[in-house]
Amino acid sequence: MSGRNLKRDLVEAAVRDNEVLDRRPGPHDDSNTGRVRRPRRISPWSLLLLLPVAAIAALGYLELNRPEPDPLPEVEVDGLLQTPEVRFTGPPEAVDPGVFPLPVERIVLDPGHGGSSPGTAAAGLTEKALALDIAYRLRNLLADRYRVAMTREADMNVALDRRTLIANRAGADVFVSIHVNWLPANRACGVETYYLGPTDDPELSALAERENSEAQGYSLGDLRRLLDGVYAQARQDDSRALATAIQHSLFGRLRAENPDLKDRGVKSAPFVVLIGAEMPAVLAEVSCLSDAGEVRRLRDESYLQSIAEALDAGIQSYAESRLLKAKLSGA
Amino acid sequence: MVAITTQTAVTPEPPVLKVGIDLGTSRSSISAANGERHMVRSYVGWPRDMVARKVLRREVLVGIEALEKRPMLELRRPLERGLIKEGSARDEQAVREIVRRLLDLAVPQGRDPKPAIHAVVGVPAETLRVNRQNLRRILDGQIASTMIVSEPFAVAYGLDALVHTMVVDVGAGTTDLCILMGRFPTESDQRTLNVAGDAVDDHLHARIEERFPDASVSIHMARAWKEKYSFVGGGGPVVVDAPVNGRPTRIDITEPMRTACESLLEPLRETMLDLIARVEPEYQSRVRNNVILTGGSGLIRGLGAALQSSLGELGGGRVRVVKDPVFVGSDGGLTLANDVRDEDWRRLAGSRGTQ
Repeated sequence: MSGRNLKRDLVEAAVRDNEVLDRRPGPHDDSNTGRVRRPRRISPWSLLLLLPVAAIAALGYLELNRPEPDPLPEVEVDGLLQTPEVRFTGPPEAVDPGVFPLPVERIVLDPGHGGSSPGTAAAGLTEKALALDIAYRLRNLLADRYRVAMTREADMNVALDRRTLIANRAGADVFVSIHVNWLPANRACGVETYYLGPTDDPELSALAERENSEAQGYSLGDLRRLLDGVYAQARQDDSRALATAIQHSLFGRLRAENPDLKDRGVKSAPFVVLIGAEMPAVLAEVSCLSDAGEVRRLRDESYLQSIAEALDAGIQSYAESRLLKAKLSGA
Repeated sequence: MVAITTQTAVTPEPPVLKVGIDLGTSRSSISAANGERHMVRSYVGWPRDMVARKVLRREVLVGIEALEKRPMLELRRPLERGLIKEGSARDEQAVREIVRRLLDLAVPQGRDPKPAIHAVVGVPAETLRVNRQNLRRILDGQIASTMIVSEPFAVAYGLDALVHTMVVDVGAGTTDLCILMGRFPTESDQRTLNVAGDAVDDHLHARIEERFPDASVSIHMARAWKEKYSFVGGGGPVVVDAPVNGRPTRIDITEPMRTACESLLEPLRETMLDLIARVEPEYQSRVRNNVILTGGSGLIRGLGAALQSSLGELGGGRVRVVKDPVFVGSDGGLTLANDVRDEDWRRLAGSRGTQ
């Protein structure tokens, strides 16, 4: 029998199996044979005989429908909303990681702002809500290939140092912070991606200052110590590579929907949310609310999906380059 | 692949979207003909009281969000032992919510009119045996036309492994084994074991408590460690952080992990050998060499190799591990959904009288 015929026969068998099921009135099921039995007329004498059976069945029914005790909470999580647990949504580790080396396995997404920090806002749209929406979409896209966690899954305050702490504790391989920009009136809308580093650009300093406004938890001394360490470390190269892959993908994909979009490039700036990260970390400004056209597009779910897909493709491109590097070094 | 097909009829009908759904004990997934693929954890929770409702601002939470906020919720995992508890309205509602969430993820928002859903729903074999009628009733109103099949069959169909094949689906609540011999599998072609991922979690949790009586470890922590570090045979060391008398402490759980994971081996080996022995003798060798190991717990490191080695008793064989088991069931369901003819979909819908 050819494969096509076999499949057709199996599909027909599955349809028949379900059709037989559909025709079965519950109590007359014959689940072993799949046959449908016709309900019989019940005589009054039979009814008398059935009374005890009915009584037992009623008791059983009552037993089944007794209110069930509340399940006990299995873990107490103190301050749940303030300290979200990191749970990965992807599949568990594969059996033979050596055969399919995947240097990037865990990704932490950080939807910018949240709670009492709305970020930028225009015409009823807020940066915090857009970032969360895009992060959810991105998580769904990534979840079949990676273990993905988010620093917040609701409109809630999460301190900047807490965000990278979550990523560090999760052993993340990549940290992506999602933001929406606000540019001065004379600047065309564009996308830009940052990795942690010093900057001499006063405009970037101002942007960093704006995004760092929630930086509780770090003292000035902490920041200096962390920055000194981070700038010198090799992961800056990885962060730049990640930022480049994401920026390339963001601009390449979104320009198809907005021909006026500008490539504002890959830049370094001292964003606090990136400082504590022990893995390649970037901050992507995926759109700008200062541009009326972008505001209109951001109201369209398909555009938000495009942004998520562009981020997904950028992360994938970076992961594949890591994979290639791993293979080459292995060879 | 056609994204959304439009049926031609005298009276306008909504467009049709074909989907494959895998309703699992631990995770549920959907693969749709429009290219959408999504997974949610099979947890549903309702706020315990007014305070929780006010904090959460939602009537129901589904998936990872429900799991994370469980202290505030009445949490359900409706297919916990591979079965929907008959008569439990909450569990039925939980299944409905999971399916609703999956469909919301797969159907583009704001599309008008909403497409009619034609779904192949893969369920644990035990659910198929016991709850199929009930499940169909639960899905009523959300899905226009439904075909319910066993999960191993959906997997085999998607992988085009329909002849001389054994599918071993190690899920969370149950392990389903099914022999495919080029015919629609019957009861005698299938086995269901209650030994699966959840049993490993319980075993691991108990062994850790036994070995480290002062450590405070929840079943959720044990499950997370299993998902990350599980192995059979050689592996480890597995060293994790757990609070001991309130202090975060490094504990070595290599042996508890090995013991817990290896508890799967013997029942799986026995059942595999029993099923193979029932195959016509001239085909047994082919089946032995075509064993597919799938399901979330099928990814336990070394499990495939250990099962393959156990086939040595019968002259050897080959076990292949599905590397991405999250969507293999829903993808198979979608492949099947695409192969069902339109008139068959209409028959399946019409026989229920709810088209």
